[in-house]
Amino acid sequence: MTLPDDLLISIFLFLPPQPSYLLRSSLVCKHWHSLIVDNRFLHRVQALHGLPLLGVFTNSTRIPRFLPAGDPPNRVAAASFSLPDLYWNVLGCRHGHVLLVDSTWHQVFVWNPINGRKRLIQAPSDVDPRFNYGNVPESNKNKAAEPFPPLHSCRLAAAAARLQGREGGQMEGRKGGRRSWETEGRRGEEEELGDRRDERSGEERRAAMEVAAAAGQEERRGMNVFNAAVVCAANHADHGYCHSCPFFVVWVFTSTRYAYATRYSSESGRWDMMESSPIPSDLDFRPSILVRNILHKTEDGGLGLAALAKFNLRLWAWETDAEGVTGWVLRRVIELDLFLPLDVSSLPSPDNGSCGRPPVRILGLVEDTDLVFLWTITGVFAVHLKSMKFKKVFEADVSATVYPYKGFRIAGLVGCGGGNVAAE
Amino acid sequence: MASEKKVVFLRSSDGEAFEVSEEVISAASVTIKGMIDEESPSRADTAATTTLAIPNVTAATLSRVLHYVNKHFDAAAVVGRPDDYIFCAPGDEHPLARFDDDFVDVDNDTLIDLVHAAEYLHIKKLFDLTCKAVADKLKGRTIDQIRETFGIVNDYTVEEEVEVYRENSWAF
Repeated sequence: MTLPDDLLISIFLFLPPQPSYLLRSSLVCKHWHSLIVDNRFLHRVQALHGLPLLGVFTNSTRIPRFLPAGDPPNRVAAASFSLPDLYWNVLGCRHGHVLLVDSTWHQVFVWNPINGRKRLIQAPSDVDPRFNYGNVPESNKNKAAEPFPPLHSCRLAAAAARLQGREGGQMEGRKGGRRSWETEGRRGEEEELGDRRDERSGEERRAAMEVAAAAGQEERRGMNVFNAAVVCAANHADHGYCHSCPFFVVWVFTSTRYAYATRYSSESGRWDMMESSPIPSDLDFRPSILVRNILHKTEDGGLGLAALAKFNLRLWAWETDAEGVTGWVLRRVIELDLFLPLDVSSLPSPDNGSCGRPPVRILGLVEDTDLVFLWTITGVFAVHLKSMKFKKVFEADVSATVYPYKGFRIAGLVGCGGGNVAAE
Repeated sequence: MASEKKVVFLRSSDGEAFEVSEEVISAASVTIKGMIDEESPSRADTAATTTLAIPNVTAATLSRVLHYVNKHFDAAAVVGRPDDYIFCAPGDEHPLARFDDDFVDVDNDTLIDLVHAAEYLHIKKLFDLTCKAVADKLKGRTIDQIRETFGIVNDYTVEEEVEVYRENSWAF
């Protein structure tokens, strides 16, 4: 029984998105392999399914640092994703890379678990978190030799703001809709937003900030906070297969009054100050690892804020209206108790009384998809916001932030014309 | 049938003719709709029914295809025919989900014939259903089982196989 190539490809496209299925099929024979490692085919797979979520990293000491998604044998080998050593903490994952920082914040480590690519980088010397408390490195403001895309100060402040979500909320950036459903969703909301923009008052913005501030109050760790994110530096729209692309590490540092962003380029091998700008001093913001992909600014792209008030998950977007006024706009409210298993919402909070813990916390959000990781007293759930389907990820009462890792690559045989898709 | 519905006959590659409602098969198959449209000027003034040759599809496969087509594309049959509920389990997303599952629960050769027929006749829903069913067969099998199922000879050398495993070790 032989199948022509176009039929085989149609069949392969119906395989589930976990990479193991395609990889196993590619090992059947060299011809199948050549069809599967073909760039056009892999781009079709990605257009259809998006990048697969391979698992989540945590910095918890109570559960494994990497939890593969799915069930064996169709999930990735945790061994390939085990951290170099416990000395490193995960700051985030983007475009195939994991960004790690050492416990003293002197070094960051960019690591691609899929192809093993690694780069150790000294932290920017002029933004030493320990010795530079509150001091504005003004002299660096003009250091940037190249004209970086200017950051809107509000955007930077918002980017710099992430709340740890200890008691109710966590600020997360969310990239603009590349996935079709998300684009549709945004489009569908445009009309409504048009009205909202007009009537948006300071009150609405304040409400969002209050959610953020309330969340932040529970965990004040001092005023100097810093974070960093790794992003692909190649100028392409599709970041599906960025494994060999150059990258940037964007380092955000806030003092009492200012936020700074400095950027490391894997090509130049050095840090350059991008911007410093005042941030609202009345808020205890923690900087975000989710600095949006500011290097590829798009019209629709922007920051999102996911916040929880009891069982209500509120999704805000940071918007700039026609007059240039920026603020948070409430885009969606999801009543989680309608969807989560009954025992989550019916059980009383373990610490009753006014200081009781909230029944649900956000542990992480997968950008570009609408997967959110929620802590509840019965375990950690991954909730797909579009379908409202949920799955228990682990039972343990661990409320560590999760860092979802998405990626896919099939390496070809030398001389077989295969290889991962160079997304440039 | 006492109704005035037009019917066409489809003749399989091995010479068997099958009757099917013109409306139903036109809704299902882009290929046959094209054939009927081509024929129609010459048919307008005659009462004779049309017979279309389907040279790529055997009688066994064609009868299966038409079974599917009558289930899925005959509006009168799909809506409110009591026997459809036999195929509809509680919680089924689609009333015909059970029918579809049973329809593709066949041996490999039959399934592959259906893929070919669906492609040739350009019946998108059936093509997707059968491709997905083949993919499901790949899904649950080991590499050796896939080779066996599809009659494929492993042409990897040991070194090459090791190389692919090594290069993609993260996924295994």
